[in-house]
Amino acid sequence: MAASSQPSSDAVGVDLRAVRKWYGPVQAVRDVSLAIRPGEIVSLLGPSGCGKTTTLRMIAGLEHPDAGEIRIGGALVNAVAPWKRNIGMVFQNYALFPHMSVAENVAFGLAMRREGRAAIDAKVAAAMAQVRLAPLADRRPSQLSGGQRQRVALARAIVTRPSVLLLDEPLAALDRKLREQMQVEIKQLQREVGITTVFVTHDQEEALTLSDRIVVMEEGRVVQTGTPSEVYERPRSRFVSDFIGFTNAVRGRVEAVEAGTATVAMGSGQTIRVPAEADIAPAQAVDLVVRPEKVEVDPPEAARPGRTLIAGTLRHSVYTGAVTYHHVDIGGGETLIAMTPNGDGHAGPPALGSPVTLGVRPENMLVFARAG
Amino acid sequence: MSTAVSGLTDVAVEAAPPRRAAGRGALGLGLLLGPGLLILAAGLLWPCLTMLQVSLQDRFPDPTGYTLEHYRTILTDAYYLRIIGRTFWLAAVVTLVTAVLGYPVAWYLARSSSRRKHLIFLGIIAPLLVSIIVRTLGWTIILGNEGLVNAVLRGLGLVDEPLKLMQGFWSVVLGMVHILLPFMILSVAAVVGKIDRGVIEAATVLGADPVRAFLRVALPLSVQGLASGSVIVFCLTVGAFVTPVMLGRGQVTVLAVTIHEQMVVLVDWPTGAALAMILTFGTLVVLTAYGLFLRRHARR
Repeated sequence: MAASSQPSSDAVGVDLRAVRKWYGPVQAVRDVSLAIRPGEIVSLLGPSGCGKTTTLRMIAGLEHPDAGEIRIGGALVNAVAPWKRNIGMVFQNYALFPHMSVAENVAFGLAMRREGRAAIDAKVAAAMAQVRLAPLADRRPSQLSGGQRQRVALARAIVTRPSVLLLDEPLAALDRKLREQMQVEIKQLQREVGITTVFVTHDQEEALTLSDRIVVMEEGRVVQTGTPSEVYERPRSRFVSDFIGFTNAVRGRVEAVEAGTATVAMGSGQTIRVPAEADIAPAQAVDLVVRPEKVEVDPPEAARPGRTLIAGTLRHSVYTGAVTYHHVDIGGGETLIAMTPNGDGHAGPPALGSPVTLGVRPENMLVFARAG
Repeated sequence: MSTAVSGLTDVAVEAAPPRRAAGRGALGLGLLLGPGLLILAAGLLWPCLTMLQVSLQDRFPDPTGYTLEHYRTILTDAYYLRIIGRTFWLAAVVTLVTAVLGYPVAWYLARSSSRRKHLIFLGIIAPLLVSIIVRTLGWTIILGNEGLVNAVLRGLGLVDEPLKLMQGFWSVVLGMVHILLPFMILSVAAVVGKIDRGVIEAATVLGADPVRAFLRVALPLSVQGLASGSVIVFCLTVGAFVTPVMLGRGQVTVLAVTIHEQMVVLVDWPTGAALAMILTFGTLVVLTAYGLFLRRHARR
């Protein structure tokens, strides 16, 4: 799964076992267990307050877990001070030392390791070249742009050859274009260095782009771990499907369950058959969840057998350039949104207000029991 | 004293955003700056120049000529040299002690939650509402032969004779530190409060133990606060009068006391003026040297 990254021979894994952290009466992290493989790049993804940053800070040693074990390269580090953990970390606002030049910032970790002047100079020069900062060596952080500061922070974090690289919302402070560029750079750098990397983000797009695996967190718990496509295509809960990417959710009630297939009645009275997990029982209130790009508008007759078909009325179409979103009223006050790519040779959209048929592969329609 | 701190104010001013050019309205600018500058000129510059003039006159009143004789007398007399040395030594010690004691408090104050911060802040500035004379008198009550400390020590049977706590240099240091600590704390807190907590954590993760994180990151970033606090404390101590007199019990003669003596008791104005000039010029030299030292070290 982590095949895209080439772990260097000395890359180590990070293991969390049943880690907990309280802030006063608030439990910020609840029994988080994670196994991060050597050389892997893993993102902790979730809304603010989900415990992702606290988890990262516990790996760094900046917070102490109240229970559980944290291992780096197999060694228990719960009692190891942060300055002895050999970690590289990029902080959300970079936390560059304002009283030092760029080169001095990058050299700091090496100086703390009491390396010789010549070794420090050589390594600093190499790290600065790696992030294309060499001409800025004598500048102060205050004289740099956001993207340049980001690079200094990265160079400072990797120059010591840490066993683990931690990134706390590394791109949140950058504008969109720069963010996309830095995503590519971070991923390339991570592959070159082959370092085990954990980063925290609330941006699902960033997580999908950068990660070998994504750990989705909610209210201090890990709710799903998987590759970007696993988490996107097969979310295990409404929360995950809502948090990652855009999704349609339609209410329904289970009429029958047989051999892993549920028959669900929607508000309009239409019934559809969908694959169902074991926790789905007859008479249960459920949400039917499907990604807009998995919904076809008026599929050709030849493609219809085997598809779940839903009848509706096209209410409006939103053209966004590469794709168009069709909002389809399927009765009972529910709307499904279908995304259609605007490739060439495509017939224009049906007229607004005209009846349409939506087609979905059964395996792309997910059923989640509705709480309450 | 305004010129005395030039080296230090440069350090402090660096962080300030560039001032916007006044552009039009020289009249408006004059109206805004005029009153302040006028008071400074009338209240500081003119008396200083007068004092300089008096210090160079052979006698006062009715001078017959100018002479450096008073300066020569002072700078060759061991009695005066001791007083000058003691005055600057006292100021240096008080500055150092307030810095060492005040720094942790300032750090704590700057990092506290806002509610607790208000309480601590109040506790720090509350003593400033009581006059220096009253606070110094308080120390005489605590430190005197029949005072609180001796009463407790004797009550516990630890001493038979009362300890002579009051007649020395260190009782003056204690009193001065007590009075001036709030200035140091508030100066340092203003700067420390702006230090991003992340940079300390960054240093820690990069391998700096707490001592090195402090020396390499926290302290250099606090220099501006320590500098401005030191200037205030040093200047106020060098010119202190009430506390050395009351807590020194005549044993700790400092320049301010001697100047008062020369001018008011002995009515020797030229010598008093020369002493005052030496005090001012000496302070200027010390603070400039200090400012240059800090600037060099802040760049590391």
